[in-house]
Amino acid sequence: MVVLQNIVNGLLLGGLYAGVALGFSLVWGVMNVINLAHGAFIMIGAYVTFWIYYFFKIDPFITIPFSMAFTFLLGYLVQKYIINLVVRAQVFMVFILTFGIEIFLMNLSNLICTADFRSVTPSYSGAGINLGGILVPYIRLAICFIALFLTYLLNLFLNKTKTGNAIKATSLDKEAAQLVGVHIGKIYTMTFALSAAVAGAAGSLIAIIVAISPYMGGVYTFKAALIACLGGLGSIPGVIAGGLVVGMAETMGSQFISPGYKEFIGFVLLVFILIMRPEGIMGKKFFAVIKH
Amino acid sequence: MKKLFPVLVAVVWVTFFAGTVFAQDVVRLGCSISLTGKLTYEGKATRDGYEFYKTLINKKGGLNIGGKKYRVDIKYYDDESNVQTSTKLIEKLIAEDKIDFILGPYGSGPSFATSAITEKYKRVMMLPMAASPEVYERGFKYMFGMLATTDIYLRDIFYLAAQQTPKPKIVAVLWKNDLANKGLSDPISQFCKDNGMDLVYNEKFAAGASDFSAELTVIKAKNPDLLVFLSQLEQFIMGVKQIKDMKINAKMIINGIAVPQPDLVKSLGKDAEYMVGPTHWYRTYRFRDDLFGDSENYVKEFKQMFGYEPEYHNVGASAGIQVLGIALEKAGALEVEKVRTALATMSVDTFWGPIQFDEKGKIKGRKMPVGQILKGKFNLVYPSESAETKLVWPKPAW
Repeated sequence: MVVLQNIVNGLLLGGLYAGVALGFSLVWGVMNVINLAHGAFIMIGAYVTFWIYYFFKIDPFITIPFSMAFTFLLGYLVQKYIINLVVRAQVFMVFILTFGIEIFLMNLSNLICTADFRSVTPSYSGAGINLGGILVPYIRLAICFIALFLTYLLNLFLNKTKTGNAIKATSLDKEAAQLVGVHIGKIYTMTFALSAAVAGAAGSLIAIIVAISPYMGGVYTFKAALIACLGGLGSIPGVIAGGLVVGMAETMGSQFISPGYKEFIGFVLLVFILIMRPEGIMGKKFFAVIKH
Repeated sequence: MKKLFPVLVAVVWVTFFAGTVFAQDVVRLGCSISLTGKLTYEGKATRDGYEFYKTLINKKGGLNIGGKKYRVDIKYYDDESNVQTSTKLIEKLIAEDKIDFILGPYGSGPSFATSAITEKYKRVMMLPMAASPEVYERGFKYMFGMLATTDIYLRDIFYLAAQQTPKPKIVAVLWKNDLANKGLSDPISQFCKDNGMDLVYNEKFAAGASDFSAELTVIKAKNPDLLVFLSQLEQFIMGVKQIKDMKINAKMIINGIAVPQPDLVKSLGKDAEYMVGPTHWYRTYRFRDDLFGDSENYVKEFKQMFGYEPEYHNVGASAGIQVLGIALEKAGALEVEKVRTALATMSVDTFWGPIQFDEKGKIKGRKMPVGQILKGKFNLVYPSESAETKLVWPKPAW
């Protein structure tokens, strides 16, 4: 019974983790940018939801498009006018730059919102479905579903739209994409903005279940990096796989090993999988490997 | 021009004398505190406590040390909630800024680390926000603390619970892996023995964790009467939400640090109802002094100055810096050894209560009254002489 409940918990958590890691994996896979500011975008999305809920009492799930729009715009501006300046330099330069952007955004948030812990607690918090003793809280279920749905939408966008295909082409081979008329600068900006939008959505979802503060983002960047590497960089289905694996590992690890080593288990798993399969669970060995 | 010259001379003369009259001596205190980072909220609360004292004492003309009036000035450095940064900044305060009297940071962990530095340099360190017993077990002579230690925080809660009907039997503990919360959880097995209860679950979670569903699922299966969730505010907010998700209907849900904080109710709304926790201080305390008046007065004036209601993080910090100020006056000089002796031999009453330190630097005689959140407010429920209302037992089902 406890095991069954924990399996459900693990799956629900995995769905949320997939949402958290989605944008990070996309940006790393397409632009070779390790976006350390990813957590900051999640934090901003969380705050947008919180303030809308606070002032207008609008249900947090309905605020998701607003937080996505806001973080999309922010990501667009950050990429176009800041990251774009160093995107052709070594990976390390961009790494440091995104780290700086994260510090800036966190402290700006601290100035504007103050560091008081806040949370969105709607009237239906705690309510859930009871499936023969297994509890499935509505909020967790909705979060998992929305995160997976966003992942599905992003996958659809990448595969079925012209811009999406251009993004995929850029990640496969930048020069070849340019040769067929893809404007790399625009693609990079679009990718980053999309990543920020998805991070914002994840933040909105997280705002309902955690205590938000300006410094909450770092933990999620770390998690996103773990899941993205595990699942395979740039692979959207890989993000789902990675998220579910980490979610299950943490809940099962907590029950059968110890809650104190939960986070540790995720990283042990990462090392193990990277040894067995360096490209991650669903990553590709070479860029030339295309699924038909 | 002829008329202007004497006027100029007069202005310069007056300014010069006014300068000497108003150029007061300053006693400089130093502080490394978390103004950014994970502990910003608590760090700011501590700083506001220090600033409140500073404003009040300077309004009265400052401290009277050896017959001269000294304005109090505090130099703050932001340690970004990072313990290593904190220790470096304390060294900076002592070695570069030449400050001899240090005010402590928020938290047992940073207090533990930074007091090692002040002890090394033999400077006085006032720790208003350190509650872990380990802080006091190092034989340090220059460090003084204002809080009761975590080994007694929960003692009276277990005693209170044991008096209730139906009597609780099963206890589950989930604690955050940091110095303060470890200190809170260590004595629980003894409290359970003392009160005839069984400790069926006692596990720690990583300091950065935000998901407890797995642990709570295991706990739920054990049907606890007392669910003890030990962490600071941030994780307790998440913990309560998940306890409600899992529908764990314990008779009492206990936290050791966050229950008196107003932000708990602000974040959780109705879900914070019935939570039980200890506090170091309460507004109904009858102790008085000449600076703050009594606790009710402290609350009134603090709210006027800062725009929010204080809780024990602010108050403890004010009490700490006040005691340091009293020691400086008693010592009659800005000399470390004299101030240290003044603190070690102090026996005064302030609005915080009677102030006396033992040979380890720990304050004597502190108790931890117990409160419960009822109708959106933290109400004292124990001991009976200070209690505002009765404990609601058992906690109604979610």
